[in-house]
Amino acid sequence: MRAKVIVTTLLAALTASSVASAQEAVTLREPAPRQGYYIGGGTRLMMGGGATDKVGGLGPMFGFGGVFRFGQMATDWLGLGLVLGGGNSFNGTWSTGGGHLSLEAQVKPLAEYNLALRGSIGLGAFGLSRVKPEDEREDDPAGGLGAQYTLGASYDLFPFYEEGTYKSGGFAFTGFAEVALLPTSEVWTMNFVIGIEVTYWFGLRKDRLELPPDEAFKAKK
Amino acid sequence: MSRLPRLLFLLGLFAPGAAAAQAAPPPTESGEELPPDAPITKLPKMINYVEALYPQAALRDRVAAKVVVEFDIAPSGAVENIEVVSSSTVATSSTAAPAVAGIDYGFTTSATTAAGQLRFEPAESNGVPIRVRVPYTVNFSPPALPPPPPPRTGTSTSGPGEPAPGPGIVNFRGKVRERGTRDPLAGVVVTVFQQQGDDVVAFEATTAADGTFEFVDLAPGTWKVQTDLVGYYPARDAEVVKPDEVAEVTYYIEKGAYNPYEVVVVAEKVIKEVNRRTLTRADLRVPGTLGDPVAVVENLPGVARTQGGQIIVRGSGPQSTGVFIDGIEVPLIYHFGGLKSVIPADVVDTVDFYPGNYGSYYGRFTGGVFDAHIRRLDGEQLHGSLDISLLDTSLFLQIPITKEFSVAVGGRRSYIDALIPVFVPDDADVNITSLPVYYDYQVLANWRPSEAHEVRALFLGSDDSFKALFDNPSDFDSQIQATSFSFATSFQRGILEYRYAPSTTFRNQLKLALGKDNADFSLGDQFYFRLGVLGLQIRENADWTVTPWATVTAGVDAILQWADVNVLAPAPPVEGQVGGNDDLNETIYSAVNNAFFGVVAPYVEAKVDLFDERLSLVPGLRMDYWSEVKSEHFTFDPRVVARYKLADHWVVKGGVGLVHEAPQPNQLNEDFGNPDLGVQRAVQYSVGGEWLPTDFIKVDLTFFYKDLQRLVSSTTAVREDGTPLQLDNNGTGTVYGLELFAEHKFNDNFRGWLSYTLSRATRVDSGQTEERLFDFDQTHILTLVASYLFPENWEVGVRWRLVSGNPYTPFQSGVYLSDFDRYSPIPALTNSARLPAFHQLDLRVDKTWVFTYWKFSAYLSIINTYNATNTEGLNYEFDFSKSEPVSGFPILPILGVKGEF
Repeated sequence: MRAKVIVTTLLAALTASSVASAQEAVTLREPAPRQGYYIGGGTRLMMGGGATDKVGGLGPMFGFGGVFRFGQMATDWLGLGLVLGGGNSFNGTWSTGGGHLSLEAQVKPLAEYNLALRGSIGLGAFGLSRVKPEDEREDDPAGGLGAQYTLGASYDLFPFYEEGTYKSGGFAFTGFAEVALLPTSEVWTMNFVIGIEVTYWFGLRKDRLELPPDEAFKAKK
Repeated sequence: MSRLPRLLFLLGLFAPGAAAAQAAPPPTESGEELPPDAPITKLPKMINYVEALYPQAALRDRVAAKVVVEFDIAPSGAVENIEVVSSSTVATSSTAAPAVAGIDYGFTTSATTAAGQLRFEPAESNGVPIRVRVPYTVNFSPPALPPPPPPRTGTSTSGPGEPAPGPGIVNFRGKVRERGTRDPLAGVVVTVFQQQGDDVVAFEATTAADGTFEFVDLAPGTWKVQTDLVGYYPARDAEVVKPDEVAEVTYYIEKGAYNPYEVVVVAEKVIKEVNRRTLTRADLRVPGTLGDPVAVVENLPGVARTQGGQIIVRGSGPQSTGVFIDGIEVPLIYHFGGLKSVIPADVVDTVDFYPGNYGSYYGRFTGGVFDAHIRRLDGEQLHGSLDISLLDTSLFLQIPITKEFSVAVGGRRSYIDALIPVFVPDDADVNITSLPVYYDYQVLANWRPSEAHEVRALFLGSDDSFKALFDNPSDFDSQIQATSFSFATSFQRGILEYRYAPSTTFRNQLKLALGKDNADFSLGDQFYFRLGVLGLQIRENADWTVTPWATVTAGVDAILQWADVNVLAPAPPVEGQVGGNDDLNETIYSAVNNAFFGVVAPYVEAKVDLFDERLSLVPGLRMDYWSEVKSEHFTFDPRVVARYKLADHWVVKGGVGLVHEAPQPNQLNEDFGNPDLGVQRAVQYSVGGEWLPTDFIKVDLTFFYKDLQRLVSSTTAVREDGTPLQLDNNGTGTVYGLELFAEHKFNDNFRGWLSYTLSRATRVDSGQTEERLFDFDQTHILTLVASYLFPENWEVGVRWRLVSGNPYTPFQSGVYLSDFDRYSPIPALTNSARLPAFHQLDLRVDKTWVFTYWKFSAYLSIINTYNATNTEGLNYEFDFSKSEPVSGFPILPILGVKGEF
């Protein structure tokens, strides 16, 4: 009987949802800084390592790089976009340089805080070489190309945003931390990354905002 | 649902409706069962009230309504399982249209939408949240009319049938259009209001079918203007009305979401087959296929996965699946054997795919049928698009000349020729003298002088070419001496179509197609293949509904071709033949001038609906006349399909049919093959069922069996005069399996399907008794496709595939041939090994930006997202003692952009 209730419930739910979606009203949103499209760039520090079948572990490596993001908050809590990153890492023995182009999704779990959980998947590539050319061997791994996965979090601080001005969007300083994994056929690497970016949030157009009449109905210029 | 409790609410808890409660505890969300007499210790409490919107369609009649719904309040507080109990409307205006009852104003939709957005603190039984079911009443009242205007100022609407109160002068008018598409919008409520002293004076108008509205005698000054239409963001602005002037405006309002899956269905196709999969243009957005209409078919049941652009259907070879454009056969469907199909997605309206047991309209193919239908031009607005991807750029432009006559042009060109020099080093052994390039072009014209007559003209063409020089041909094979390679294929088709439908019971369609096909391959002067074909195809098809339960279809399908062929090449291997001719210098020369090939096929088919249309029978008969098959000029294909509606959501179906297929022209050639070959045949059986629980979910399970007879097979037999037969008709084959297709059409922002094929395809070659696997046998083919449309016009789609590896013939070792100074492989049993299974995830993200007059879309497709290493073949050492796998594509991101207006 319970199973029957569940099946019946499921079918009825599907039917109900098909009726509801026939005319979906749009929802106007309260103005906030973290809205609309975003574009940002910054710098990052990396700590990590890797391993290969041929030479074993690469040892801890440190490095720095840059990152560029572009995307949009599709809803108040979900954003989608692209991220392009690159950098160099090294230790006494190895030196790497690489980059990635990934699709990124971010989730803002708490409405009142500008904290976002981020994840991305995309194409990553890097080259690997020995720091001292005289140590190079024929069977040294050259690097790799593969799918790069990242998971992390960020926080946006809007120092110039004034509450109560009905503005949407603005400049933010964004701090982030993430873990990046890039397994390839020859080498896999994992890095812990922290960084800071400057992000500009374009905000929403006024036809999408819940505004008082004086703000909403400004005369055309 | 009777086990769920019903609750009594006081008016204060729940506005504007009331509900009654009865106790009967349900299972909790955690799955524990409460005792049947468990009390409700806490009533649910509304924490988020959403007002139901008054439907725009009811404004004109100023209708009031009362809708009673029932829904569950889940233990999470969410509203679920909404059902409409009753809905009644009452006209409130003396000028309302007389027939208020029976018109769907949208009240139930609005009520259920609002109910679905309510949120509650859940009911509890001794501290445990429980599910309850409540009734909920929504009362709709039309918005208050604006205050009566002072003398000489009137309210006016532009809706038809609404009399103006006086001879007012229009001093503010405009149009409302949809942003991005420029389509005029009807039913938009335009409100103007102005502060006059302590009062707010407001007037309202509703746009007509052409999107226009007007106001009369507005007082001069600044008026705030707002547009309202459900599903669209409002336009809000301030307009200045000046004395003795007419203010004119156009508002472009943006939809909440631009659904690419909204399709206007002009006419529902009658189902006469066991399986017909129809894909619309929107369905072509499958990750990993780059929007190619032909590549998408590979994700359907019954279709094997291939790398080379071939279509392998239910265990039959690529030459056994027919490819058509609007019923006209075309010779090539892919550029460069698999890169992109010759038909851009913008030109396609729908694609029909039949994996087997197709009707008598088609024939000559023992595999399946793929038919791409070119879009019909709508003659409303100028439309166009420009699509730029990694491989090519395509352009499409539709121009309405008059309401009855429209034309469209399209074209596409690749730029691999620009990319290759970037990747091929200057000092490479290959010198490409003519870089690979492909292009295709389309011209369409549509003339519809009346409902009964329609004339359509199509001109399609495609062209591929590539030339290269290489310094060391022996690097490829020691027997190759030629230092140049060239490849060129092209085809053009002009199709004229006349449709005549004087009534709903008769329809006739006549198509004439004239075309030219060319192919030119050469490896210097060592091997070459040059083909030129001039062809005429005629299709005449008439449908006559004799009685409401019987329709008869009759027609003729004829192809007449004249071919010139000039060939110098080794004999090509047939399916199942391992390797080929060891001695590439053992070439065969053949020249044929003005050879005639003709096929004429009259057919007749009936559709009979019995037992209150529960049973549908489709018997058909097709006769083919083959001019080139000397041993068997005439064949007959009887076919029958039956569909029975068991219950409201259940259909069982089955079919059996005979299909004949002629040998390939090279197989009938006296130099390369055997001119005495006969026609191949297949008896196709399928039986299955469909479950349609809702109008957007369909589950289809089909079992199929195909008996292949008289297959062309390589033979060592000789004729009486001692000359080798080379080929005969003593091959046989068997294909059987099941296909599961579970589809969720676009609904609630989600669409997708699961396709699974389990099959076995075997052959017995001429002179053999043992079965072997078919070259493209793939036991399991599992494909999962899903996409979700997010707000702000984002779409994310995934495709995951798991496919059995193809069988192959392993080489045990090699034997040294001193005459040729190279090793020749010693094969094991044919197709006795299988490559590892293939699995791959493809991801695609689309984003559309909507501007006032146009839309811009960008997509990023990541093929092989988790960089799976799939073995596509084996590379052997020079002596065939060892082999290493050849991997398929690694992770590959592809960017594309498109602008359309």
